[in-house]
Amino acid sequence: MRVARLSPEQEHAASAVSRAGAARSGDPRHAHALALQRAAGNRAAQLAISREIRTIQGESVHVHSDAQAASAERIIKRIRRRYGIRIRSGQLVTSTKARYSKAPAGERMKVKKRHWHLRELRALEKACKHYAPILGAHRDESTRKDAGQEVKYFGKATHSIDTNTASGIADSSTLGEYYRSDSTAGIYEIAENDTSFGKDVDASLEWVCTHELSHGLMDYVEEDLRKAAGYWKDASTKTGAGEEPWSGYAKTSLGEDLAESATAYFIKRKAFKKKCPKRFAVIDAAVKAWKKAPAAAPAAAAAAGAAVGAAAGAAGAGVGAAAGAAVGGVVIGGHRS
Amino acid sequence: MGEDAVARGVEYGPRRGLDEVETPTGRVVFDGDRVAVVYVSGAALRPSDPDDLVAELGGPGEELPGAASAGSELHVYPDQGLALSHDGPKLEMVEAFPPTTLGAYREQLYRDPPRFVI
Repeated sequence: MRVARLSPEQEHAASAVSRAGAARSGDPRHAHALALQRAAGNRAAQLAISREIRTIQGESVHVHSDAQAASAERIIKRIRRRYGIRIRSGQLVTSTKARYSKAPAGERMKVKKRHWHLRELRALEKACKHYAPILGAHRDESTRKDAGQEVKYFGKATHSIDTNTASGIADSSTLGEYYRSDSTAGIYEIAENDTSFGKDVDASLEWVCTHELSHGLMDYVEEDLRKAAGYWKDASTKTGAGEEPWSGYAKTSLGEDLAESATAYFIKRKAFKKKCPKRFAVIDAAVKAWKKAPAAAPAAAAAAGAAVGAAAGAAGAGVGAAAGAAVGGVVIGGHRS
Repeated sequence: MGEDAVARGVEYGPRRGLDEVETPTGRVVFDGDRVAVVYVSGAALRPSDPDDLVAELGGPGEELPGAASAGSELHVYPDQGLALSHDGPKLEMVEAFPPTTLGAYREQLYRDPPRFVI
Protein backbone atom coordinates (compact mmCIF):
# COMPACT_ATOMS: atom_id res chain seq x y z
CA MET A 1 0.00 0.00 0.00
CA ARG A 2 1.22 3.49 -0.72
CA VAL A 3 0.43 5.76 2.20
CA ALA A 4 1.80 9.26 1.87
CA ARG A 5 3.01 10.80 5.09
CA LEU A 6 3.86 14.38 5.89
CA SER A 7 7.37 15.02 4.74
CA PRO A 8 10.00 16.06 7.30
CA GLU A 9 9.83 19.54 5.82
CA GLN A 10 6.08 19.68 6.29
CA GLU A 11 6.37 18.34 9.87
CA HIS A 12 9.01 20.92 10.65
CA ALA A 13 6.94 23.74 9.20
CA ALA A 14 3.86 22.68 11.16
CA SER A 15 5.85 22.45 14.40
CA ALA A 16 7.41 25.82 13.82
CA VAL A 17 4.00 27.41 13.34
CA SER A 18 2.75 25.83 16.57
CA ARG A 19 5.79 26.82 18.56
CA ALA A 20 5.58 30.37 17.31
CA GLY A 21 1.92 30.55 18.33
CA ALA A 22 2.65 29.24 21.84
CA ALA A 23 5.57 31.60 22.24
CA ARG A 24 3.43 34.51 21.24
CA SER A 25 0.75 33.66 23.78
CA GLY A 26 3.22 32.74 26.52
CA ASP A 27 0.66 30.35 28.02
CA PRO A 28 1.77 26.68 28.42
CA ARG A 29 -1.89 25.54 28.09
CA HIS A 30 -1.90 27.00 24.62
CA ALA A 31 1.22 25.07 23.76
CA HIS A 32 -0.46 21.84 24.91
CA ALA A 33 -3.60 22.59 22.92
CA LEU A 34 -1.57 23.40 19.87
CA ALA A 35 0.36 20.17 20.21
CA LEU A 36 -2.89 18.22 20.32
CA GLN A 37 -4.20 20.17 17.38
CA ARG A 38 -1.03 19.46 15.45
CA ALA A 39 -1.23 15.74 16.13
CA ALA A 40 -4.87 15.55 15.08
CA GLY A 41 -4.21 17.70 12.05
CA ASN A 42 -1.34 15.50 10.99
CA ARG A 43 -3.50 12.39 11.25
CA ALA A 44 -6.26 14.01 9.22
CA ALA A 45 -3.80 15.25 6.65
CA GLN A 46 -2.21 11.81 6.46
CA LEU A 47 -5.60 10.18 5.91
CA ALA A 48 -6.50 12.72 3.27
CA ILE A 49 -3.25 12.30 1.43
CA SER A 50 -3.34 8.51 1.72
CA ARG A 51 -6.49 8.21 -0.40
CA GLU A 52 -5.73 6.61 -3.68
CA ILE A 53 -7.48 4.99 -6.57
CA ARG A 54 -6.41 1.46 -7.24
CA THR A 55 -7.33 -0.96 -9.97
CA ILE A 56 -8.99 -3.94 -8.34
CA GLN A 57 -10.40 -6.75 -10.45
CA GLY A 58 -10.36 -4.39 -13.42
CA GLU A 59 -12.33 -1.65 -11.63
CA SER A 60 -11.10 1.64 -10.19
CA VAL A 61 -11.72 1.77 -6.46
CA HIS A 62 -10.99 4.64 -4.07
CA VAL A 63 -9.39 3.26 -0.91
CA HIS A 64 -7.49 4.52 2.11
CA SER A 65 -5.45 1.46 2.97
CA ASP A 66 -4.36 -2.01 2.01
CA ALA A 67 -7.10 -3.39 4.25
CA GLN A 68 -9.74 -1.44 2.33
CA ALA A 69 -8.28 -2.57 -0.97
CA ALA A 70 -8.41 -6.17 0.16
CA SER A 71 -11.98 -5.70 1.35
CA ALA A 72 -13.03 -4.23 -2.00
CA GLU A 73 -11.44 -7.12 -3.83
CA ARG A 74 -13.23 -9.67 -1.68
CA ILE A 75 -16.59 -7.98 -2.26
CA ILE A 76 -16.15 -7.80 -6.04
CA LYS A 77 -15.16 -11.46 -6.13
CA ARG A 78 -18.07 -12.51 -3.89
CA ILE A 79 -20.59 -10.62 -6.00
CA ARG A 80 -19.33 -12.42 -9.10
CA ARG A 81 -19.00 -15.84 -7.49
CA ARG A 82 -22.15 -15.92 -5.36
CA TYR A 83 -24.51 -13.80 -7.39
CA GLY A 84 -23.30 -14.16 -10.96
CA ILE A 85 -22.97 -10.40 -11.37
CA ARG A 86 -19.78 -8.94 -12.77
CA ILE A 87 -18.71 -5.46 -11.76
CA ARG A 88 -18.12 -3.80 -15.12
CA SER A 89 -18.28 -0.02 -15.27
CA GLY A 90 -17.20 -0.10 -18.90
CA GLN A 91 -20.35 -2.04 -19.72
CA LEU A 92 -22.50 0.58 -17.96
CA VAL A 93 -20.86 3.33 -20.02
CA THR A 94 -21.49 1.36 -23.22
CA SER A 95 -25.12 0.70 -22.28
CA THR A 96 -25.74 4.33 -21.33
CA LYS A 97 -24.32 5.63 -24.59
CA ALA A 98 -26.30 3.07 -26.58
CA ARG A 99 -29.64 3.89 -24.91
CA TYR A 100 -29.14 7.60 -25.50
CA SER A 101 -27.79 7.23 -29.01
CA LYS A 102 -29.72 10.26 -30.29
CA ALA A 103 -28.17 12.66 -27.77
CA PRO A 104 -25.40 14.88 -29.13
CA ALA A 105 -22.00 13.20 -29.30
CA GLY A 106 -20.56 15.85 -27.00
CA GLU A 107 -23.01 14.91 -24.27
CA ARG A 108 -22.49 11.19 -24.73
CA MET A 109 -18.74 11.73 -24.49
CA LYS A 110 -19.26 13.05 -20.96
CA VAL A 111 -20.40 9.62 -19.82
CA LYS A 112 -17.30 7.96 -18.38
CA LYS A 113 -16.40 5.26 -15.92
CA ARG A 114 -16.37 6.47 -12.34
CA HIS A 115 -14.30 4.97 -9.55
CA TRP A 116 -16.06 3.06 -6.79
CA HIS A 117 -16.02 3.76 -3.09
CA LEU A 118 -16.03 0.88 -0.65
CA ARG A 119 -19.43 1.88 0.76
CA GLU A 120 -20.97 1.53 -2.71
CA LEU A 121 -19.61 -1.96 -3.17
CA ARG A 122 -20.91 -2.86 0.29
CA ALA A 123 -24.34 -1.47 -0.61
CA LEU A 124 -24.39 -3.46 -3.84
CA GLU A 125 -23.50 -6.65 -2.01
CA LYS A 126 -26.38 -6.06 0.43
CA ALA A 127 -28.72 -5.52 -2.51
CA CYS A 128 -27.56 -8.75 -4.14
CA LYS A 129 -28.12 -10.61 -0.88
CA HIS A 130 -31.83 -9.76 -1.00
CA TYR A 131 -32.03 -11.62 -4.29
CA ALA A 132 -29.61 -14.42 -3.41
CA PRO A 133 -32.11 -17.26 -4.08
CA ILE A 134 -32.42 -16.29 -7.75
CA LEU A 135 -28.86 -15.19 -8.45
CA GLY A 136 -25.82 -17.14 -9.58
CA ALA A 137 -25.74 -20.85 -8.93
CA HIS A 138 -28.73 -20.62 -6.58
CA ARG A 139 -30.93 -19.59 -9.47
CA ASP A 140 -30.61 -23.08 -10.91
CA GLU A 141 -32.24 -24.42 -7.77
CA SER A 142 -35.06 -21.90 -7.87
CA THR A 143 -38.33 -21.64 -9.74
CA ARG A 144 -36.67 -18.93 -11.90
CA LYS A 145 -34.12 -21.35 -13.31
CA ASP A 146 -35.64 -21.41 -16.80
CA ALA A 147 -35.44 -17.63 -17.23
CA GLY A 148 -32.05 -16.11 -17.88
CA GLN A 149 -30.62 -14.01 -15.06
CA GLU A 150 -31.81 -10.48 -15.83
CA VAL A 151 -28.85 -8.66 -14.26
CA LYS A 152 -25.38 -9.88 -15.17
CA TYR A 153 -23.35 -6.67 -14.98
CA PHE A 154 -23.30 -3.77 -12.57
CA GLY A 155 -21.22 -0.65 -13.05
CA LYS A 156 -20.58 2.90 -11.98
CA ALA A 157 -20.36 5.89 -14.30
CA THR A 158 -20.26 9.65 -14.10
CA HIS A 159 -23.61 10.52 -15.68
CA SER A 160 -26.63 9.24 -17.42
CA ILE A 161 -28.40 11.32 -20.08
CA ASP A 162 -31.80 12.86 -19.52
CA THR A 163 -33.57 11.94 -22.77
CA ASN A 164 -32.83 10.06 -25.95
CA THR A 165 -33.35 12.99 -28.29
CA ALA A 166 -31.16 15.56 -29.99
CA SER A 167 -31.68 17.78 -26.95
CA GLY A 168 -30.45 15.12 -24.51
CA ILE A 169 -27.83 16.27 -22.01
CA ALA A 170 -25.60 14.51 -19.50
CA ASP A 171 -27.62 14.91 -16.33
CA SER A 172 -26.70 15.05 -12.70
CA SER A 173 -29.97 13.83 -11.27
CA THR A 174 -30.11 10.18 -12.34
CA LEU A 175 -28.88 8.03 -9.45
CA GLY A 176 -29.10 4.66 -11.14
CA GLU A 177 -30.49 2.90 -14.20
CA TYR A 178 -31.26 -0.56 -15.53
CA TYR A 179 -30.56 -1.56 -19.14
CA ARG A 180 -32.75 -4.50 -20.00
CA SER A 181 -31.20 -5.18 -23.41
CA ASP A 182 -27.75 -5.58 -21.88
CA SER A 183 -28.69 -7.21 -18.55
CA THR A 184 -26.80 -4.31 -17.02
CA ALA A 185 -27.52 -2.00 -14.11
CA GLY A 186 -25.51 0.66 -12.40
CA ILE A 187 -25.24 3.78 -10.34
CA TYR A 188 -24.00 7.23 -11.24
CA GLU A 189 -21.68 9.66 -9.50
CA ILE A 190 -24.52 11.72 -8.02
CA ALA A 191 -25.45 8.72 -5.84
CA GLU A 192 -22.18 9.07 -3.92
CA ASN A 193 -23.58 11.66 -1.54
CA ASP A 194 -27.31 11.39 -2.10
CA THR A 195 -29.80 10.63 0.64
CA SER A 196 -33.03 10.82 -1.36
CA PHE A 197 -33.85 7.17 -0.76
CA GLY A 198 -32.56 6.53 2.75
CA LYS A 199 -31.79 8.06 6.12
CA ASP A 200 -28.14 8.38 5.15
CA VAL A 201 -25.89 7.78 2.16
CA ASP A 202 -25.34 4.09 2.92
CA ALA A 203 -29.06 3.41 3.26
CA SER A 204 -29.83 5.33 0.09
CA LEU A 205 -27.15 3.43 -1.82
CA GLU A 206 -28.57 0.09 -0.74
CA TRP A 207 -32.04 1.27 -1.76
CA VAL A 208 -30.90 2.45 -5.20
CA CYS A 209 -28.90 -0.72 -5.89
CA THR A 210 -31.80 -2.95 -4.80
CA HIS A 211 -34.21 -0.87 -6.90
CA GLU A 212 -32.07 -1.30 -10.02
CA LEU A 213 -31.80 -5.06 -9.50
CA SER A 214 -35.57 -5.17 -9.00
CA HIS A 215 -36.23 -3.66 -12.42
CA GLY A 216 -34.71 -6.75 -13.95
CA LEU A 217 -35.25 -9.54 -11.45
CA MET A 218 -38.87 -8.80 -10.51
CA ASP A 219 -40.19 -7.61 -13.86
CA TYR A 220 -42.03 -10.89 -14.35
CA VAL A 221 -44.56 -10.00 -11.63
CA GLU A 222 -45.35 -6.54 -13.02
CA GLU A 223 -48.72 -7.54 -14.45
CA ASP A 224 -49.68 -9.34 -11.23
CA LEU A 225 -48.87 -6.21 -9.26
CA ARG A 226 -50.85 -4.03 -11.66
CA LYS A 227 -53.96 -6.18 -11.30
CA ALA A 228 -53.65 -6.56 -7.54
CA ALA A 229 -53.05 -2.90 -6.72
CA GLY A 230 -55.60 -1.51 -9.15
CA TYR A 231 -53.61 1.72 -9.37
CA TRP A 232 -52.47 1.47 -13.01
CA LYS A 233 -54.51 1.09 -16.18
CA ASP A 234 -51.31 0.43 -18.03
CA ALA A 235 -47.61 1.02 -17.68
CA SER A 236 -47.97 4.78 -17.46
CA THR A 237 -51.66 5.60 -16.93
CA LYS A 238 -53.24 5.69 -13.50
CA THR A 239 -56.75 4.45 -12.83
CA GLY A 240 -57.44 7.17 -10.30
CA ALA A 241 -58.22 4.49 -7.72
CA GLY A 242 -56.59 1.44 -6.15
CA GLU A 243 -53.99 1.03 -3.45
CA GLU A 244 -51.61 3.97 -3.06
CA PRO A 245 -48.02 3.11 -4.01
CA TRP A 246 -45.21 2.91 -1.48
CA SER A 247 -43.61 6.24 -2.36
CA GLY A 248 -44.05 9.36 -4.41
CA TYR A 249 -41.47 8.11 -6.88
CA ALA A 250 -43.43 4.86 -7.28
CA LYS A 251 -46.17 6.95 -8.90
CA THR A 252 -43.89 7.67 -11.86
CA SER A 253 -44.86 4.51 -13.75
CA LEU A 254 -45.88 0.91 -13.19
CA GLY A 255 -42.26 -0.20 -13.60
CA GLU A 256 -41.07 2.22 -10.93
CA ASP A 257 -43.95 1.14 -8.70
CA LEU A 258 -42.83 -2.46 -9.04
CA ALA A 259 -39.15 -1.69 -8.35
CA GLU A 260 -40.04 0.46 -5.35
CA SER A 261 -42.42 -2.19 -4.04
CA ALA A 262 -39.84 -4.95 -4.30
CA THR A 263 -37.19 -2.77 -2.66
CA ALA A 264 -39.55 -1.81 0.17
CA TYR A 265 -40.42 -5.49 0.61
CA PHE A 266 -36.79 -6.29 1.35
CA ILE A 267 -35.71 -3.16 3.22
CA LYS A 268 -38.87 -1.77 4.90
CA ARG A 269 -40.91 -4.96 5.11
CA LYS A 270 -43.11 -4.17 8.10
CA ALA A 271 -44.01 -0.66 6.97
CA PHE A 272 -44.53 -1.87 3.40
CA LYS A 273 -46.89 -4.64 4.48
CA LYS A 274 -48.92 -2.15 6.48
CA LYS A 275 -49.08 0.55 3.82
CA CYS A 276 -49.36 -1.61 0.70
CA PRO A 277 -50.88 -5.00 1.67
CA LYS A 278 -51.94 -5.87 -1.89
CA ARG A 279 -48.52 -5.16 -3.33
CA PHE A 280 -46.93 -6.96 -0.39
CA ALA A 281 -49.01 -10.07 -1.14
CA VAL A 282 -47.80 -10.13 -4.76
CA ILE A 283 -44.11 -9.72 -3.92
CA ASP A 284 -44.30 -12.06 -0.95
CA ALA A 285 -45.92 -14.81 -3.02
CA ALA A 286 -43.27 -14.42 -5.72
CA VAL A 287 -40.37 -14.47 -3.27
CA LYS A 288 -41.73 -17.46 -1.34
CA ALA A 289 -42.17 -19.36 -4.58
CA TRP A 290 -38.44 -19.07 -5.42
CA LYS A 291 -37.07 -21.36 -2.80
CA LYS A 292 -39.39 -24.30 -2.96
CA ALA A 293 -37.80 -27.68 -3.49
CA PRO A 294 -38.41 -29.06 -7.00
CA ALA A 295 -40.77 -31.77 -5.76
CA ALA A 296 -42.89 -29.18 -3.98
CA ALA A 297 -42.78 -26.65 -6.79
CA PRO A 298 -46.25 -27.29 -8.25
CA ALA A 299 -47.86 -26.86 -4.84
CA ALA A 300 -45.81 -23.73 -4.23
CA ALA A 301 -46.77 -22.27 -7.55
CA ALA A 302 -50.41 -22.98 -6.84
CA ALA A 303 -50.12 -21.35 -3.43
CA ALA A 304 -48.40 -18.34 -4.91
CA GLY A 305 -51.03 -18.09 -7.60
CA ALA A 306 -53.77 -18.28 -5.02
CA ALA A 307 -52.19 -15.48 -3.01
CA VAL A 308 -51.81 -13.28 -6.05
CA GLY A 309 -55.30 -14.07 -7.21
CA ALA A 310 -56.72 -13.24 -3.81
CA ALA A 311 -54.94 -9.92 -3.84
CA ALA A 312 -55.96 -9.14 -7.35
CA GLY A 313 -59.58 -10.04 -6.88
CA ALA A 314 -61.51 -12.51 -8.93
CA ALA A 315 -62.24 -10.15 -11.79
CA GLY A 316 -58.67 -8.98 -12.17
CA ALA A 317 -57.28 -12.49 -11.99
CA GLY A 318 -59.30 -13.53 -14.99
CA VAL A 319 -58.07 -10.71 -17.19
CA GLY A 320 -54.56 -12.00 -17.76
CA ALA A 321 -55.74 -15.46 -18.69
CA ALA A 322 -58.12 -14.12 -21.30
CA ALA A 323 -55.80 -11.45 -22.62
CA GLY A 324 -53.18 -13.46 -24.48
CA ALA A 325 -55.64 -15.58 -26.38
CA ALA A 326 -57.95 -12.75 -27.25
CA VAL A 327 -55.55 -10.18 -28.56
CA GLY A 328 -53.21 -12.12 -30.82
CA GLY A 329 -54.92 -11.22 -34.04
CA VAL A 330 -56.60 -7.95 -33.08
CA VAL A 331 -54.04 -5.30 -33.81
CA ILE A 332 -51.06 -7.10 -35.17
CA GLY A 333 -53.12 -9.44 -37.30
CA GLY A 334 -55.24 -6.52 -38.44
CA HIS A 335 -52.19 -4.70 -39.58
CA ARG A 336 -50.80 -7.66 -41.45
CA SER A 337 -53.96 -8.03 -43.41
CA MET B 1 -72.37 -3.71 -24.02
CA GLY B 2 -74.13 -1.76 -21.29
CA GLU B 3 -73.74 1.90 -20.56
CA ASP B 4 -72.04 1.00 -17.28
CA ALA B 5 -69.15 -0.51 -19.23
CA VAL B 6 -68.27 2.93 -20.56
CA ALA B 7 -66.06 5.18 -18.47
CA ARG B 8 -66.78 8.83 -19.22
CA GLY B 9 -64.45 11.80 -19.12
CA VAL B 10 -61.20 9.85 -19.16
CA GLU B 11 -57.76 11.09 -20.19
CA TYR B 12 -55.51 9.61 -22.81
CA GLY B 13 -52.12 11.20 -23.24
CA PRO B 14 -52.71 14.93 -23.51
CA ARG B 15 -56.44 14.60 -24.23
CA ARG B 16 -59.28 14.78 -21.76
CA GLY B 17 -63.00 14.23 -21.84
CA LEU B 18 -62.87 10.95 -23.74
CA ASP B 19 -64.91 7.77 -23.26
CA GLU B 20 -63.33 4.41 -22.65
CA VAL B 21 -64.24 0.75 -22.65
CA GLU B 22 -61.93 -1.76 -21.01
CA THR B 23 -61.19 -4.94 -22.92
CA PRO B 24 -59.43 -8.12 -21.85
CA THR B 25 -56.31 -6.90 -23.61
CA GLY B 26 -56.38 -3.19 -22.89
CA ARG B 27 -58.96 -0.60 -23.80
CA VAL B 28 -60.75 1.22 -26.58
CA VAL B 29 -60.93 5.00 -26.27
CA PHE B 30 -63.64 6.99 -28.02
CA ASP B 31 -63.85 10.64 -28.96
CA GLY B 32 -67.60 11.00 -29.28
CA ASP B 33 -68.71 8.24 -31.64
CA ARG B 34 -65.25 7.85 -33.23
CA VAL B 35 -62.54 5.50 -32.07
CA ALA B 36 -59.60 7.63 -30.95
CA VAL B 37 -57.25 4.78 -30.12
CA VAL B 38 -57.17 1.08 -29.32
CA TYR B 39 -54.59 0.36 -26.63
CA VAL B 40 -53.26 -3.17 -26.31
CA SER B 41 -51.10 -4.02 -23.32
CA GLY B 42 -47.69 -5.52 -23.99
CA ALA B 43 -48.42 -8.16 -21.35
CA ALA B 44 -51.28 -9.42 -23.53
CA LEU B 45 -49.00 -9.68 -26.56
CA ARG B 46 -45.90 -11.24 -25.08
CA PRO B 47 -43.76 -13.07 -25.95
CA SER B 48 -43.83 -11.15 -29.23
CA ASP B 49 -40.37 -9.92 -30.16
CA PRO B 50 -40.41 -6.13 -30.66
CA ASP B 51 -37.67 -6.39 -33.27
CA ASP B 52 -39.86 -8.74 -35.33
CA LEU B 53 -42.78 -6.35 -35.10
CA VAL B 54 -40.66 -3.37 -36.12
CA ALA B 55 -39.32 -5.36 -39.06
CA GLU B 56 -42.87 -6.33 -40.10
CA LEU B 57 -43.85 -2.67 -39.99
CA GLY B 58 -41.06 -1.83 -42.41
CA GLY B 59 -38.48 -0.32 -40.08
CA PRO B 60 -38.28 1.81 -36.98
CA GLY B 61 -40.76 4.45 -38.14
CA GLU B 62 -40.71 7.71 -36.24
CA GLU B 63 -38.86 7.23 -32.95
CA LEU B 64 -39.74 9.01 -29.74
CA PRO B 65 -38.95 8.39 -26.07
CA GLY B 66 -41.68 6.24 -24.53
CA ALA B 67 -43.36 6.95 -21.21
CA ALA B 68 -43.42 3.47 -19.69
CA SER B 69 -39.81 3.24 -18.53
CA ALA B 70 -36.44 4.93 -18.74
CA GLY B 71 -35.53 2.58 -21.57
CA SER B 72 -38.83 2.85 -23.40
CA GLU B 73 -38.59 3.41 -27.16
CA LEU B 74 -41.73 4.41 -29.02
CA HIS B 75 -42.02 3.63 -32.72
CA VAL B 76 -44.79 5.55 -34.45
CA TYR B 77 -46.18 4.71 -37.90
CA PRO B 78 -48.63 7.58 -38.31
CA ASP B 79 -49.79 6.76 -41.82
CA GLN B 80 -50.40 3.13 -40.82
CA GLY B 81 -52.23 4.15 -37.67
CA LEU B 82 -49.93 2.13 -35.41
CA ALA B 83 -47.43 2.73 -32.66
CA LEU B 84 -45.59 0.38 -30.35
CA SER B 85 -43.23 0.83 -27.45
CA HIS B 86 -40.67 -1.50 -26.00
CA ASP B 87 -37.84 -1.57 -23.50
CA GLY B 88 -35.27 -3.79 -25.15
CA PRO B 89 -36.90 -7.20 -25.62
CA LYS B 90 -39.95 -6.28 -23.51
CA LEU B 91 -42.94 -5.20 -25.58
CA GLU B 92 -44.78 -2.55 -23.57
CA MET B 93 -47.79 -1.66 -25.67
CA VAL B 94 -49.31 -1.34 -29.13
CA GLU B 95 -51.66 1.47 -30.15
CA ALA B 96 -53.96 1.44 -33.18
CA PHE B 97 -55.54 4.73 -34.25
CA PRO B 98 -56.97 6.36 -37.38
CA PRO B 99 -54.10 7.11 -39.78
CA THR B 100 -52.71 10.55 -39.08
CA THR B 101 -49.54 12.65 -39.16
CA LEU B 102 -46.69 12.57 -36.67
CA GLY B 103 -47.58 16.08 -35.57
CA ALA B 104 -51.17 15.11 -34.89
CA TYR B 105 -50.06 11.96 -33.06
CA ARG B 106 -47.80 14.02 -30.82
CA GLU B 107 -50.55 16.49 -30.17
CA GLN B 108 -53.35 14.03 -29.50
CA LEU B 109 -51.94 10.73 -28.30
CA TYR B 110 -48.30 11.05 -27.25
CA ARG B 111 -47.54 10.86 -23.56
CA ASP B 112 -44.56 12.87 -22.42
CA PRO B 113 -42.17 10.62 -20.52
CA PRO B 114 -41.85 11.36 -16.83
CA ARG B 115 -38.43 11.99 -15.30
CA PHE B 116 -36.85 8.73 -14.22
CA VAL B 117 -34.07 9.11 -11.64
CA ILE B 118 -33.53 5.53 -10.49
